[in-house]
Amino acid sequence: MRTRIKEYRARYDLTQEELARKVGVRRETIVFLEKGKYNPSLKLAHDVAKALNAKMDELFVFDDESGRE
Amino acid sequence: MKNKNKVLASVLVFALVIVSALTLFAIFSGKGMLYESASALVLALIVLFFAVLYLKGGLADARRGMPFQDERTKNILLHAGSKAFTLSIWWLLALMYFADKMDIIPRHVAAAGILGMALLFFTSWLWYDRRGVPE
Repeated sequence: MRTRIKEYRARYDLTQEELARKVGVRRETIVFLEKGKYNPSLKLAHDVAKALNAKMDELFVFDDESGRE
Repeated sequence: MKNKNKVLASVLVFALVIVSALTLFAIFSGKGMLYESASALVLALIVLFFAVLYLKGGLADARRGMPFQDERTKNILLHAGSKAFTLSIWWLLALMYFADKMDIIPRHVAAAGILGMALLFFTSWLWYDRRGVPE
């Protein structure tokens, strides 16, 4: 899984800490999400997408085995 | 951040070496109680050191409007607990075997069991906190 959180965060000029506060998580969680090292719950994915005015499938990209998105 | 991790790891390794040395002295020398007390003191200081670090970081985040615990930290605790439980079974089995072979007094076996379980949980927690929880 990879995410486009960093790209969207930059678009709205938000720091990791500001996004963390908006979503109600720790800053480290945003760091791990951006690196694609944490698989969030549906609720957290929804909250992050809402905070960044994006759709969930725009933010979280799952590459299948054949490499298609 | 990497330097901070290196310092923490060095402190932990150094403290564990001291505790291991003191514990071995307690077991194999005639002065059990003296070295037991010393290793218990060092252990208490290690726990206190990491507890202060953990609470300091968490409280600083809380002051800035972020929660002390969230979904990821709860997941880490869950995975660390599960991993530590599995590893503890092996640790206790090994301890039973060696306690029998080396004729160690029951109090030391119990202390080593509890200490080992605590260390396994702490190590698992640190591992998942740094490397991320498996999907």
